[in-house]
Amino acid sequence: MSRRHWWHWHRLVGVLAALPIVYLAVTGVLLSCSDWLGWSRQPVYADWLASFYHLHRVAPQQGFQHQGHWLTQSGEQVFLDQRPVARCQSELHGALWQDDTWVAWCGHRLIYLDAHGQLLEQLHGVPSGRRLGQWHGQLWLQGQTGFRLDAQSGLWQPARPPAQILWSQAQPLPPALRQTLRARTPLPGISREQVLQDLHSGRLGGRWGVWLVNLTSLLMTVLAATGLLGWWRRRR
Amino acid sequence: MRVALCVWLFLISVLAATLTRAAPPGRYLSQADFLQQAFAGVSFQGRLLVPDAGLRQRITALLGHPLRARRLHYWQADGRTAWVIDEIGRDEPITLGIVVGAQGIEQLKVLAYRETRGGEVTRSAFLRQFNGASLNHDQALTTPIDGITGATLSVHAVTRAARLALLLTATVTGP
Repeated sequence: MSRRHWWHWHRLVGVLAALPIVYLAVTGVLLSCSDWLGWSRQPVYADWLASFYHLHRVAPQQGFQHQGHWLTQSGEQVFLDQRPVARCQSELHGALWQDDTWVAWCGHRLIYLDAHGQLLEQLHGVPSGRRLGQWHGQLWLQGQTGFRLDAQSGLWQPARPPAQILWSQAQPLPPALRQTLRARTPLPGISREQVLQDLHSGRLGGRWGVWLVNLTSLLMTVLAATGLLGWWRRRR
Repeated sequence: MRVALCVWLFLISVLAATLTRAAPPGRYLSQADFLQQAFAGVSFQGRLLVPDAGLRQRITALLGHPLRARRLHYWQADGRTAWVIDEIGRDEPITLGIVVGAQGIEQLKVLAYRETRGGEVTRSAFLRQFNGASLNHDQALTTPIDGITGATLSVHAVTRAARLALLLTATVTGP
């Protein structure tokens, strides 16, 4: 094949592959910057992506109520009514109102919030338990055994819970609040980085998307080979 | 040719360094175990610190951001003070247990690490660097802390928490 032919093929493949290469380059650069952009943990809300991933938004159904105000969890976010007020990576096991303060039990810590949702304190070291309650201004935890929180020391002491304890209990959310929180609930299990990875690999377009990316890779290889051979022949 | 070889070797070594597994996110030590280790069986007392406006200002200057919590628990025995402090590395808070004595920091432990990268800061060799550190006039640590490639933000977070613990201890123990 003559040199002219090599360049002809090189140009043709270049024109064919130009758009997909730009697409792969842009998504690739964004992917390499996603860590810096903080996209690895950024949630995704778009409904059209939910249908692509066949995901269903799991809206909170229950929450903890005090005088018409609700503390609830949606994804990793804790909401006071409609406002995100704290993060909870594990489950919000319980919450109650005590001495003008919200006490939310999240994993191994208690999150104290004021009436406006401002963080007062995070107290670590909550022992394993099933439910959180209060009696006479003291917090109690019931697991296999019972624990009482010494508010001064911030430490849990083994103790038998009295029978009169008011245990925090989740209640169904009002429909209006449930609707509002549903829109603020991220799609479960995916981040912006995940979407970007699936865009880059073509997986978001299903089988055809992956084949298109594979074809682009093939064209890029041909482009490299024809470019290299053309240069080699010209050198000779 | 030699230049190309050097470039390839450099790229491979960078890739190998990146793939070296750091400690995974997780909970490393419970608060109860940390306090047990901190005071070695000696009975300790828990107290509550509510920083006033002046202290909050100094904390903001030291951390580079305001302290989110309005109050903090701490524990004392035998002239030592223990703190459990959350400080954000990149996205997630790192929970640190810090014991401060008369000669500066005596122990620094990671109780929980939640970031996906930078877990090298949980290694005891790194944490031991803080032993004996105190604050100088510029509110910086008196001991130089070696950074870790790929864990810069976590290293900075641990350093900030150590400085905060020293500042708070100086506040609660007095001059």
